[in-house]
Amino acid sequence: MSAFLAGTGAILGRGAIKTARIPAIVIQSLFFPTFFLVIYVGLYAGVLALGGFGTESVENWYVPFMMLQGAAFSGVAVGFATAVDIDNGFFDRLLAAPVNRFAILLGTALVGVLRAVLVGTVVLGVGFAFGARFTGGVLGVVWLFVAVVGISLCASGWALGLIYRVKDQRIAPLFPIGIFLALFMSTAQVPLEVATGWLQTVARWNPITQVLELARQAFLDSGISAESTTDGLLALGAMVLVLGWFAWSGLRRFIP
Amino acid sequence: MTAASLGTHTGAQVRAIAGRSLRAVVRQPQLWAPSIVFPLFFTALSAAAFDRTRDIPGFPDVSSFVAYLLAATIVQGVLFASTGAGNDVALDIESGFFDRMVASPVARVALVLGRLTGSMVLAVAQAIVFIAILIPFGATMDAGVGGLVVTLVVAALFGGAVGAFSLAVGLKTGSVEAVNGFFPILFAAVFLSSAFFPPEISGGWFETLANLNPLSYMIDGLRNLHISGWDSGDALMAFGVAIGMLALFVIAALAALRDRLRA
Repeated sequence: MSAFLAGTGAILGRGAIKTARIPAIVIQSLFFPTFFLVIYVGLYAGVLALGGFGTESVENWYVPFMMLQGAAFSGVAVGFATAVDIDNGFFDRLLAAPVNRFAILLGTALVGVLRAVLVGTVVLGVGFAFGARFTGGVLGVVWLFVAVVGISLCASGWALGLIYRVKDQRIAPLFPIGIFLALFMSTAQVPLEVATGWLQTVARWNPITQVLELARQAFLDSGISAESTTDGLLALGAMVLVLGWFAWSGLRRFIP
Repeated sequence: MTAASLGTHTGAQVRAIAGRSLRAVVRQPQLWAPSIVFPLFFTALSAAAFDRTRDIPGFPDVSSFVAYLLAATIVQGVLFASTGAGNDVALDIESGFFDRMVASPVARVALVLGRLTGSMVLAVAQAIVFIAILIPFGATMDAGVGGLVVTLVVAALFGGAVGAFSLAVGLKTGSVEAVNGFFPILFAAVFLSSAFFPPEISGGWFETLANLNPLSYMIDGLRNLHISGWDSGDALMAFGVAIGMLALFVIAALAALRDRLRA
């Protein structure tokens, strides 16, 4: 067990050092959520006139979505890093070392989580600067960051699962596209009752919708609800398990 | 095609360089496909998400949100594709091909105008694709053939303007990364306009910025032709902004070319 923890810690430590030495890695994950947050709170402020958002603050509506977007970008970024490691031979050396295989996967995913929390905190700060305010107390903040951590794990699982299978950097553009589509085809922009047509149908079945509901408890007037919490945690747990398995089975396939 | 067959006619040289730019795009679908797919995806997404906002007082009278977004889709698509001119010239500089072009008997101005012509032709093709795809989904062209012609001309001019901007950056820096680094600025400029939602409904700082943004006037002019019928004032407004941007950025690109040739 201690060897497993040591392996996980070593991989996580490498990622943490790299993040500290090359802050540009985090800036890449930070750019789009911050950019879209600033744009969206201005551009779609008038949309809240339709009602049904559960808040009168456009910042409160969009901050959780942008934090999850930042978490997703942070998660897929570890896929990019692994692609480079595979390309330059570092990953083969890592596999040849006496390191538990699952520790490699977990340590890599935790690097994504570390960056996701960092990015989420900055996006939250920008949101507060524009006028977002908590309404769900401490528990709301806890569920918000649980959603951030979970989405980061999902994004890492997706990106790592792909790169472990394909072993070629050319698959990298698919990392963010998959997560980006999943996020946008949910209640990311508007609630279910405001959405129309195909988006309403897709968003109803998209588990990201439940995760957003979990995260938004920190900011909506209704505060914390047992139903939103349970549904959100179940959806998040299921996605982490499925995408975690996708990455783990990919890693097992990678090893001859 | 050799320099000898081109002769010394600048027009032929512009055509040859434009043809080279276009062939490079056509042969690599990964270069043009995203500039078609992403704007269409965003339009489909925004139309489904924000269609009910047409009921908000002050929203223009449109039959669908897709009709409101047609001009924005064209502008966004052209923006995605037209930065290729800057990328190409930066790649040519990095690979040394640009130096060989300069050493050949090619008119200097053809180096800029050729690539811009490529961007403009591509922009017109994109606009035709967007109009053809979106009209069955609710987009309209109430100004008829006149509106269509103005839309295509404005798309060409805007494609040339974005191409000239990216060329100026590419020639100045000689770096593909630098050209791509400027893309978010152009992307933000489209979002901070009336492209995706009426600024007067959202109000606040966004309305102020959108009203200061020349792109809002170009997009509003086109949109009015699409949803309200022919109006010479709207056509002139869209045309005037597009030609103004083209002139400004062509001057910048020619200045950057002069600086690079001096270096």
